[in-house]
Amino acid sequence: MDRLERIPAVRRQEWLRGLLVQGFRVECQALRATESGAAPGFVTRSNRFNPSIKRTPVSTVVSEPTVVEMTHSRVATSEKPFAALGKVIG
Amino acid sequence: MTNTPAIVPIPVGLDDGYAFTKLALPDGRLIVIPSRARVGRSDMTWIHGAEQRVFEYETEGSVYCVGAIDGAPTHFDGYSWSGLNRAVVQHALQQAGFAGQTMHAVSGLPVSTFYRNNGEQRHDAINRKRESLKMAVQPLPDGLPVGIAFHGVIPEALAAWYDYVIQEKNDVVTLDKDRVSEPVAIIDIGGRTTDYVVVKEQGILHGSSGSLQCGMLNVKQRLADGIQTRFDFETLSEQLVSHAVEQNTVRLQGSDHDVKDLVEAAKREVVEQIFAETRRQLGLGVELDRVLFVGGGAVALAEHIADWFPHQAIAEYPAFANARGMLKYLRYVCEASDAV
Repeated sequence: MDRLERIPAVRRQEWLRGLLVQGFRVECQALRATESGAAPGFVTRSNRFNPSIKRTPVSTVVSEPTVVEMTHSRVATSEKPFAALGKVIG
Repeated sequence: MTNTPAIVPIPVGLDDGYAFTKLALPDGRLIVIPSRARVGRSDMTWIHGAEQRVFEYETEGSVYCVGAIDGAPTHFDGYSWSGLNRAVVQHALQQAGFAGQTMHAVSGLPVSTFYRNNGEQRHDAINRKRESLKMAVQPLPDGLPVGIAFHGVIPEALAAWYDYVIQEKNDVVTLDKDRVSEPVAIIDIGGRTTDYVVVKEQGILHGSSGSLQCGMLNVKQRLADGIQTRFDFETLSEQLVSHAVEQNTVRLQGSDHDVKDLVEAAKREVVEQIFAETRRQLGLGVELDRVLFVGGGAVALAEHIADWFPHQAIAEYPAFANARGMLKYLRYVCEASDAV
């Protein structure tokens, strides 16, 4: 905020935009580093999913399975809480 | 009297497509393998078991090999309940580490295979698919098979709708009431088909739902035709064409050749067909709150479909949206299964 106040008012919008882009790029690099650092064939999922980021399609030329690790859901219920949605199928 | 521990079935969302077979598992893993198999033995001997890349399975008296092979075409009517399909699914479950385990599964059928035009269900096709995956498949020579004790079948693109409206976050599962109430179209660009489902007020609008027999396998076929014509070859392996689609190059007789123009032309041709059908089914989508793209084609064709609707979105990991929705349906909606 201090830096923002030191910048002339006419340039503040541009500075903020640059900051946003820089943050976005850092996040993209962190995402790529996470993916490339994982074991071959494994991709660790980040919670910061952004649909606008272009993703490389999962390669299927190799025959080994490709695995994506999602957040482990430990939801345990003996009931079917949304059984009513079954009627959508008809 | 002894207490025998009850067998706890493991739930799995099983999107057994014509091009790829995807699994969604309750431990958070999403797994994909190519739907690549053929009838017959591999006629290969593996010196080191750990390096084995082709696997054999027997079902209904026939042997199938799965893995690093040139697969037989899967885009034929009836693949969904064929031995080829069972072998690929068994292989995916084996690769996921479930040898010897009992599973409950939900899979899907294309919308036009699941429903007649008037919205009635095609019970014959649904039952054939349901029973097929419950049949025994034996890993050769002496592996422990994965058993499917319960198998539900739902329309493929509708599975993505379940994924869209049921949210799992911080160990809590909730229904997104806004999403449930909004009219939404799901466009599922798959291998052999592109599926359309419009859900409004928890009902399917069958007039705007259906399947187009066109998908990513058509891109591969167009590309294979183009490469054969340009380089004057009679046949090309399926793996070589898959590589060309992904890398824009093809390696022939020891040399790499740039085929980006052929890949782009093949994609454009398929995209034009899908676009025309999309406009026919949905128009401009003015009465829809959201148009959601899912399926492997939504990734591969992302640049081509980027501006079809102002209110469109691509699902998270779109190739797995159906598998995730099938798992959510199994765990939170389907009362016929006790798997959670």
